[in-house]
Amino acid sequence: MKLGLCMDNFSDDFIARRASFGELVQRAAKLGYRGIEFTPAQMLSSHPEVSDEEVGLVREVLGKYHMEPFCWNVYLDTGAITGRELSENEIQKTMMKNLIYAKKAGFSLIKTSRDITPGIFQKMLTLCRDLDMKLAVEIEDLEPGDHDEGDVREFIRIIQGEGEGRAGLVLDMDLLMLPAADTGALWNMSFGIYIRPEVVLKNQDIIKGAAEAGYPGYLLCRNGRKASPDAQRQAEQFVKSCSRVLENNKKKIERIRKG
Amino acid sequence: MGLVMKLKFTDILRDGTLRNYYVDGQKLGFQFDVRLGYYRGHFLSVIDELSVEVDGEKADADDITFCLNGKEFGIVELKHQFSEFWNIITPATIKVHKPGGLTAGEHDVRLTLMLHSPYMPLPGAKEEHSYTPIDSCDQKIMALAD
Repeated sequence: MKLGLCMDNFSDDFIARRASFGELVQRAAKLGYRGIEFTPAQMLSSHPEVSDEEVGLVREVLGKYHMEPFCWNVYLDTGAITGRELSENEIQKTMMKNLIYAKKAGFSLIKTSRDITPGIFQKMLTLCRDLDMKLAVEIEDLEPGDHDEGDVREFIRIIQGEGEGRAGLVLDMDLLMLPAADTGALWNMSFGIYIRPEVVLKNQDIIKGAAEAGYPGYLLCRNGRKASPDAQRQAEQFVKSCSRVLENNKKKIERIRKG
Repeated sequence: MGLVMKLKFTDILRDGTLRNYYVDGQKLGFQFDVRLGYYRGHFLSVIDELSVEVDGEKADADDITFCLNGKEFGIVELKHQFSEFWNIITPATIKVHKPGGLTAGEHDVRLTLMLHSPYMPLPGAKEEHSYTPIDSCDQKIMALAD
């Protein structure tokens, strides 16, 4: 299990121009994070037609600080066109462009919302294979039983079938209203798990459960309000709290994993 | 109005940018810079309302021009600009046609800038295509720079 940081936690400093992207990545590395989630709609001036020059700079900065480009976060702006929703074709084009940009920037995973729909999610797998990229959908508002129903069931069917190893979930544990016991089935199809820095200890059972299950993905520090004047301390505390939970349960986790 | 998001990471009205503008030596109006009050950029098509009031005098919508990425847009054009992106770092310039411009000194500038978050459907909305409003309004006493 690795610890990652959503860069929009540092929105305050980035938007107020108190720190550049490079300085924020350096800060994340110093705090002990191994990877980042990157939001191009926030941090790239050439978005949405992202320039090679700018993705090159992102790649260079991440390499300089030995930070893994974990996840490229794509917003599907379904309500951006006055009077109608984005068409299936427009969503596909958005995803295709971003897969290419993410690849150029060194990322191997792109993530978006359930607005992608299972049908488009499935169609994107061909390009993902061609580019050797992974694709994830964020699940955040399930209630007990929901994971067997509707579009989520379809996403899971694709992930476990045609998309195995290539497609997966990113879970927002603060909005995922499932009992801890029910989340176990989701670990092996998840690339990342969001946890809010202010409630790490409340979620320690989830962290323990993921570790016991041998979850190899990222625990991602994500502030639900996208920013906080206290972001630096929260990001620091997240690393300490997660590490403490894992350390305190090290023997039990090892025992369970050995079976 | 129900849920409205307000995320102000920096001043929306930018200090030091209020100035008169000239065409062929004629003072034809005033302008100032604004930043977007949110945590990520947006397409201009999500701007639902933009108006300017200076010293209690509201500018006519036809007199306002929104300038970004080297282009100029009238208010009525904005809702169709779904490929023109306003980056979160980049200031836009708002020009107001007002022959003679503003007088020297300080002015009370009020900006109404309402958008919608195009990925966040409005909770409980009964109408289709309803998205959560973003309040990017600001008010400030600004000194004319020229």
